[in-house]
Amino acid sequence: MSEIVSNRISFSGRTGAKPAPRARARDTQPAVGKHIALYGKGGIGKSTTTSNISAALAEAGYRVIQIGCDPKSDSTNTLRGNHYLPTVLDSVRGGNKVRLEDISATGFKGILCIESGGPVPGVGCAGRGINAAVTLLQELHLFEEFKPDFVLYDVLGDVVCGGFAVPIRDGITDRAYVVTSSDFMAIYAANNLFKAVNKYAPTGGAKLGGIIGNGLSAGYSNAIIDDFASRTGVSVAGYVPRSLMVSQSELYGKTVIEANPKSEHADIYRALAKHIADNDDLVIPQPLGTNDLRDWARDWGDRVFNLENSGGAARVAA
Amino acid sequence: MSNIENPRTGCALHGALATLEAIEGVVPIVHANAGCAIQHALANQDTGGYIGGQSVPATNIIDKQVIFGGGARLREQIKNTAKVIDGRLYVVVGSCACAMVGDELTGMAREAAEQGVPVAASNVAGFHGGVHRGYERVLLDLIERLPELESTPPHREEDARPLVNVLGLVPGGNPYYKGDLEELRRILEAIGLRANVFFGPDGYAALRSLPHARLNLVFSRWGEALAARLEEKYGTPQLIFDAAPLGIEEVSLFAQALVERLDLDAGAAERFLEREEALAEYFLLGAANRYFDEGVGKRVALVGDTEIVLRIGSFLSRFAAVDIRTTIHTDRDDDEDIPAYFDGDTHASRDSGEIAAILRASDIDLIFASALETDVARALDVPLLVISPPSRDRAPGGQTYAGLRGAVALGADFLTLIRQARRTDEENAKRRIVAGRG
Repeated sequence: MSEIVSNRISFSGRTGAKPAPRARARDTQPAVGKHIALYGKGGIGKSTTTSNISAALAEAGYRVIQIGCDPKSDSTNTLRGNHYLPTVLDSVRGGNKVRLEDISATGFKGILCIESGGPVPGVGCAGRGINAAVTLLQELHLFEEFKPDFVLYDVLGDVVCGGFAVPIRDGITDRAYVVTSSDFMAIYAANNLFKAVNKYAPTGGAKLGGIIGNGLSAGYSNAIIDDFASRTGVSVAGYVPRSLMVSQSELYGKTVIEANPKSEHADIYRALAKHIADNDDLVIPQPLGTNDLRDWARDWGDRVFNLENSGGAARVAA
Repeated sequence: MSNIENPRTGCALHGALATLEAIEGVVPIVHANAGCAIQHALANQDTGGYIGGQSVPATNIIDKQVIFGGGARLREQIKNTAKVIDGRLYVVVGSCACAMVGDELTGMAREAAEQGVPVAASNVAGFHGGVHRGYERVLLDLIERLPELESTPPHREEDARPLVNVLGLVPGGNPYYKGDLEELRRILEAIGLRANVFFGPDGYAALRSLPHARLNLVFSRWGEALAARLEEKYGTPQLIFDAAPLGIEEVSLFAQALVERLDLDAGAAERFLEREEALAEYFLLGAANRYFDEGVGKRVALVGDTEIVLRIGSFLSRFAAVDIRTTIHTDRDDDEDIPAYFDGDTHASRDSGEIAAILRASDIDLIFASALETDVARALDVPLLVISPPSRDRAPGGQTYAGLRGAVALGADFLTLIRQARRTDEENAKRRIVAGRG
């Protein structure tokens, strides 16, 4: 049979051979559950939002782990009545053999609460700390043992250096959400996270699930967030308006879901949690350049100015 | 700098270590993860001192200290070091990891000093550059710190001769730096000065007398920042040279400059130089006759720090009528403009691969370089004289290629190489004749 099999010329037998699969930086792709990282500017309400999402997911019957990735170690406070919980890095520092039960606490509706911890302010390297804590949790087979449906990583502040990008690198999480208000600095931080996602996603890092608008009070807040989302090619997972109820629940050391389960706000968090649970539409965002972001902000400054000066009559449209 | 292959001498931390080790009485304490100190011992084999080389106190920090800060570990290491190693000054030098984490070395040093242990610190982190940067940085830090450490000024000898500081010859910058320094000392003392070399046996006490010098002598650009700081701080004037003097002509100019500047006895200097010149002739004249037959006009390449390249290059071109075809400077950045000191082409590189390629493309009879150029010299079938680090098999004693004795040594080594090369050529020719191929 004189069939032409191939017209390719092979040099030293290499042509046609498949390239070796790219070795992962570390073999950590969690086999169990959806792993979600939440980022956002400091003080924007990440922990509150994350805890309420965790609570809503747990209430819906899912097995949930929430990991606070912040040296302040207060991410899971409202899920477990503000009790003291030794952090993962506290135990590393102690130098003893670490057991999962020593560094985790069961909170509202069975949520497993973990705090990575970190150095005291002003010394050491918090970024490296997060990296070490996450690695240790994997070594302890946390996910295989607990078999979660969802793991939420509540990551501090901005992605200022490589250490803070750990949760979205190397396949630790496969999706990130960013919590932001309509304030420029919060959006600036969100845009920075987009840059990090944009950098790492092509090589196995997390993609973006969407934006969570939080603490929105002005009439134009949603429009600003929508506009930013559309320009960067991402979707908005939900809008959480500013509410006294959130602060009040927090003062009682509880999530809104626990403290005011029948409130409208609890339903907002439930809807948000459902969206996050169901959403598999993950994207690589297109962050704005520094100057574009500035121009965009100035443009919004003008619009908001006009709006305020026309007695609220002008319609705000993206 | 791209694609570095065998980058010669190590990082800034290594330069700081080489500097500290060379000062007797000074004990370095390395605040780093395991590996930084041993790499220094491996990369800079001919440095080291009382405390140094492979036995250096070090914190050997681990992940825990990176995350939470290594202050406590360092405090412990300073305390333990002072307990078991007798030093007049302990100097903490930090690594890249410590600098990135922001460990506060000076704070720890001050704390220890308050408890009576004389400790200085230098955040010298390897990423600041090569060994030269480390030399510069650690000495700058010591210049600032030393006055704070002891309230009483160091004991001053009752010696009327003016003191001059010798700066810019970096430990390990060339394999024979110890011999170079001692030769400079010999010349300086012969013309009526006291030399503050502070490396070697004079050690810590000499370091303490840096502020008391009448003049700072700078022998490479790596001493310029030090001299500038000493001038700012103590008003000491400076005299800057591109390189250490080599050969009677340069030493004479050097001596003359000092005689004028410090109002020394010109007659004494002259008598010394005359005697030295006569000695040099006595040693080399016989050999020189042969040299005129075989050595004149040899085409050479020089590889090393700017200081040694200039020092040896200008001596050879003047004294030995050698043709400097190629110079490769190993302590310069790629994008730096290097003045064309010689007629031949000038390069900056510390990448052994790149250096070998440059040498291969040059039309040369002899190479003055490091032991890393052994292979390319063999491939080109030209002799190699080691003038820059690493020297590998060649262990330096008190040998020098500086001053007047250095000129005799270099002249002799140069002639030896030429003769050996000629001998090899002759033997090869004979073999060819015997084999009937001539």
